[in-house]
Amino acid sequence: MTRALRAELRRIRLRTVTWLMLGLLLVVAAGFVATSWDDARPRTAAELAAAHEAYEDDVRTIADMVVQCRALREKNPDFDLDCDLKANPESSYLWSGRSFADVLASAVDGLAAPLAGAALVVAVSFVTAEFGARTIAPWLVVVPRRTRVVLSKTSAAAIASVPGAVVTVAVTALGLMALYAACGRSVGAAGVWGPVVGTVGRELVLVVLAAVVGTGLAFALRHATAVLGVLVWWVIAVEVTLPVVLPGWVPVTVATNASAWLTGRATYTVEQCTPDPAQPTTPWCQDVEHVVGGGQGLMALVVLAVVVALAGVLVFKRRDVT
Amino acid sequence: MTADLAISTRGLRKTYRRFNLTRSVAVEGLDLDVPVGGVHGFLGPNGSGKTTTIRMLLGLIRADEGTMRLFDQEVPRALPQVVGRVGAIVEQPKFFPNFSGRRNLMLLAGAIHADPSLVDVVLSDVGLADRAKDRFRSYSLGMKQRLAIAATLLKDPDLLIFDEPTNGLDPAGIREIRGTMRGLADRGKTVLVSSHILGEVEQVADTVSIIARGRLLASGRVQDLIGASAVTTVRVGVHDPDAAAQVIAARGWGVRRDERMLVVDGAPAPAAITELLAGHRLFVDELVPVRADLESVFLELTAGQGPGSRADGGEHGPHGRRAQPEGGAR
Repeated sequence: MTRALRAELRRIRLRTVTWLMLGLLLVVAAGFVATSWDDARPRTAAELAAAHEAYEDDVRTIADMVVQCRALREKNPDFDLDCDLKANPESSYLWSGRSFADVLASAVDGLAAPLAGAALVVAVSFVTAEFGARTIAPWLVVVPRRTRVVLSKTSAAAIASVPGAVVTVAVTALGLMALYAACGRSVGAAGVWGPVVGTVGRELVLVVLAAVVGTGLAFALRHATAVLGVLVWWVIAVEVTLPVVLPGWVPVTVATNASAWLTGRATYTVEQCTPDPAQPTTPWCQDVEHVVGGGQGLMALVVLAVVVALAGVLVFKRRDVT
Repeated sequence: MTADLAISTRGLRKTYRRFNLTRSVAVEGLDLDVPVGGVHGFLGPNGSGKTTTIRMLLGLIRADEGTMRLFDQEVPRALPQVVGRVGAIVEQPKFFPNFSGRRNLMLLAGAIHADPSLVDVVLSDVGLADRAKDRFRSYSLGMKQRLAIAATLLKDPDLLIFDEPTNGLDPAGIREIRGTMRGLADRGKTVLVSSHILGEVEQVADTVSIIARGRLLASGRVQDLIGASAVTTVRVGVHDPDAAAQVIAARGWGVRRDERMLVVDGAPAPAAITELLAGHRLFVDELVPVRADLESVFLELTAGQGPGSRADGGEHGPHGRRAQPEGGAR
């Protein structure tokens, strides 16, 4: 098993698709950094001048209002008027962009889908390429235990997905740090890293599960196009249509469970109707919010991955390799 | 089942189901014995079940019925124990097209725990050292085949299975592969080579099995099969062929004219012809024994086994015939 796993790890490391996906992830990381420029950049002289002008306008307007207020209070002493009006601080007139902590948390959250997608693609292509090139037959002559072949390939795909994800997150974080530092913004706020590390840990679990699902689907279906077909069907039928037709079934969708796992909870609403006590013939309906917890989300994702992986093992063990 | 057999199958059967729900019998009750050592030719026309049999032996496809043994171990159950002694190339060599030949072998060496330094040795053995760093996809068919052989040699296996190893090769490539197989057998390995090109196998094989329609028709040593099958045919040159033909026909041997030569069948030996003709003062100018070859044996055995007919064992019985040593069969 260890030998086969080592060979599979080496093989996946040498694959073009693996590096292509890492390249795409780094492009996504660069995109997150680039789109954070507006948050991090120093304000321009025009923006500073406009903000100052707006502040000055408000100061003048408020001064006029105070004069009018006092005049009114003198005319009507019975009125309890508070004429102590003040303009907001000048700094509030200049949007200074989100903080490093907010931008980093947002970027790391946004990486979850690309990371899982890349792991899925690498895993699917890792297996289907072997069926496509028909290299699986000579490999089975070397490693005849098919369960072992599935395990080694699945483990390799899962293990290989982690470094790419870590590198992508690291590049994103370092890029944002460099950007904020270059713009003279603070990056060292206490408590920044704890939540981010927690999110990254949960994303790594998601990435590993995506790789397991990918290899399972590939072993079961053998062709990348067939896997793509099943994934498209799943997205249309389960992820998009099912919540509309049967809102109570939302907890079976991957999106809901993944969101629950990543954020700690996901909510969905189901309309519940009961007879109106005042008018028994008319139902009284209301939207009831339900919560999918993080643990429940993880459990659902793990069950999905195990079921798909077992399907892959069973099909691969039963079918002839030609 | 004895330990002197590298491969043994009994009653092996495989049926493929098609999309239109019809069934196609690829292998039907095949009994195959491959002795340890030497080159064993596994012969049969295209579609006769050779590749299916090899795939079943290697655990790539499931047999519907029957038993298979490799080195006296039942497969596919014991395949993990015995696979280290087996190297195989099934149909066309398959490697990762974007990896170099050397990298492909390094991957394989890692998986089978072979010494990585062996990679360069086997590449050199098959004459690929100069192209080792080129991508597999840039290799010619002959080079791919040689790389596949190199891959099988990494394990230093006792049994090598080559399925149609010379398909698509030029004459030089065929000769090279033939030499490689012979060399392996001379080093004590058992080589099973499947082919439908009989002349090629005849030159290198020590023993053969001939199958058609998934059934064994004959098996044994090449010379025994040829000897068992051959009717002595001799081409005779004589100054009066018409008179000679009458004399030979009167003896009850078959004779026909082939331009100025006579083709004589059924004579016990060429000397008998010279003796007969000399007795009638007809003197032989030329006497050429026509040597039977594997192809003629094959054609004889597979007559009526072409498309649309069903092998039923015929006169050879359900499990074919086995040639006796020293031409004793048939």
